[in-house]
Amino acid sequence: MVEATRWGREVNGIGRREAEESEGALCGDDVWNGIGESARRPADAPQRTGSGGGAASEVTPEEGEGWRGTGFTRWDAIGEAHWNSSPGCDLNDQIEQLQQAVSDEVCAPELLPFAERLVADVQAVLQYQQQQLGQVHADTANGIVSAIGDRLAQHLQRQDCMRVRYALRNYYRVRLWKAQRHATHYLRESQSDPRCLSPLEEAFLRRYQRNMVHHLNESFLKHVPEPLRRLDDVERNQSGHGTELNMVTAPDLDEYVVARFVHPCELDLAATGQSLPQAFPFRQGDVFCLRYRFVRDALLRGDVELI
Amino acid sequence: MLTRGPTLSELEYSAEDVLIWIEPRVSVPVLHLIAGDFGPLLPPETALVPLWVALALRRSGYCRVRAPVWLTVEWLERQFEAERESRVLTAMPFRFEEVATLLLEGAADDVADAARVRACLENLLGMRQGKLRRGLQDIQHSDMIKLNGIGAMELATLRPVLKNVLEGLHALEEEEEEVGDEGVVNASADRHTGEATMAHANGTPGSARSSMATAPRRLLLRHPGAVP
Repeated sequence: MVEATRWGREVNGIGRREAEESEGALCGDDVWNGIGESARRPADAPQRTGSGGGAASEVTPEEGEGWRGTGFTRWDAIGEAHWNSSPGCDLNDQIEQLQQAVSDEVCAPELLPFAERLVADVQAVLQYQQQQLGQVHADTANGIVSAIGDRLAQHLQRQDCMRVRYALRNYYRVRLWKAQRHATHYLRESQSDPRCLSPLEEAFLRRYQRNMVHHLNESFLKHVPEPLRRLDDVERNQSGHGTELNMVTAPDLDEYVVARFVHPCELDLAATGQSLPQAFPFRQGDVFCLRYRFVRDALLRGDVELI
Repeated sequence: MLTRGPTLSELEYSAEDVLIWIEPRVSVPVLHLIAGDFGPLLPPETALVPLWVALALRRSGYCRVRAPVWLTVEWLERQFEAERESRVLTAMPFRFEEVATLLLEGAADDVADAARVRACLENLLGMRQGKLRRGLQDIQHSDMIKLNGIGAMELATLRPVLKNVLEGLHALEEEEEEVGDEGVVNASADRHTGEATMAHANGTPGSARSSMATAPRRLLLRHPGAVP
């Protein structure tokens, strides 16, 4: 049902479909046509070194009226009506990607591969910007007076640096928190897949593991008989036939996460290993709460974001 | 539940990246920030900047913020009507609650009729909360829940409840199947069978197993022959 009023059309977007009566649907089925949305860019976007970074002028909504897109990107949140000309600002996509990486890490139960390229780029830009600011600071210390506009710009640049540093630190912090929960598991995984941990994280986890083992030994393990001192035992068949209890815990991939589909895709909703391929089609802009296991591959491909 | 989701401060931080139009009162050449190049601020032309820049300038009186199109009484009232008529959540900008809060606190003078806007917003939020709560009561299966149109803050408050509900339901479903299918091999492995999931998602008549998952526990119904 398309509403006839101007506001109705603008609010609900052009691509609105009938709401489906599907069981288990908590909320709406309004589909945005996603014209105003900037698609998730690959991690190898052009590096920004202080002059003209990722172009955001790809955002060119059609009739230029009302509010388009999914409302998820920064462009859509204001619902501006005048998109006829280019908006007059040049956005750095990598900051948005970093924010999304933080969001993914915070929501996912397992540690995602380290975004090496993204972090290196952002750190390089941050360093450059701080050097610029340092230069300006030296100038003012030497008595060179700048116009009010320039001082304002410097203040904003300093605040911007703090924001980016916070985002980066948050990323490291969340990753370390998750890594510590299952340190041995991730160290084992990083042997086979070097992408999952950064070198610094790996070094940290080794020290952490060493400390933990030392602490446990000193506290009580040294008083325990020799054969019971291992920290990676696997107990088999203790809780019934075929069960396995592992001292080295792995993250629980069956936790529920809220995923937003950036690109339409079909997910196999059968449990992994089953022979029944039940591909459920997801549309762009759908937000679902489902088990992490089902969206894991799509997340690593970039079709899905965790919010 | 071990993953926490974004905290409220993180949500506010993300909301401050949203772009907004301002009318600057001071002349600033192109702003070269890490977040992007914004500029140049030449009064009286309007400029598009991130929300944190707008608020920083507003605090020192260097600009006037232009409220987004959805932060007006008419728009919010219309949206309220649409929300009332719709069975499900209507679509709103993802971070509307945070952006609205930041603007009403930091630039209340620039928002037309701020007190009424606040009241309309609260009505709208209340209605949406009511729908979410009723939706929670209607959850029958722990497979998937569709949350189109939800806002970031609403999701943050809903997340722990939703996770507990779904995990509890899932544990109950597992228990039902394990208790009921003792004579069948691979009972627990089949609990995620797409068949059952698809049946619920599409509303098509499900298999005997899916109907068992929703029916109250009646052990008499379960026998190896009925399991696909």
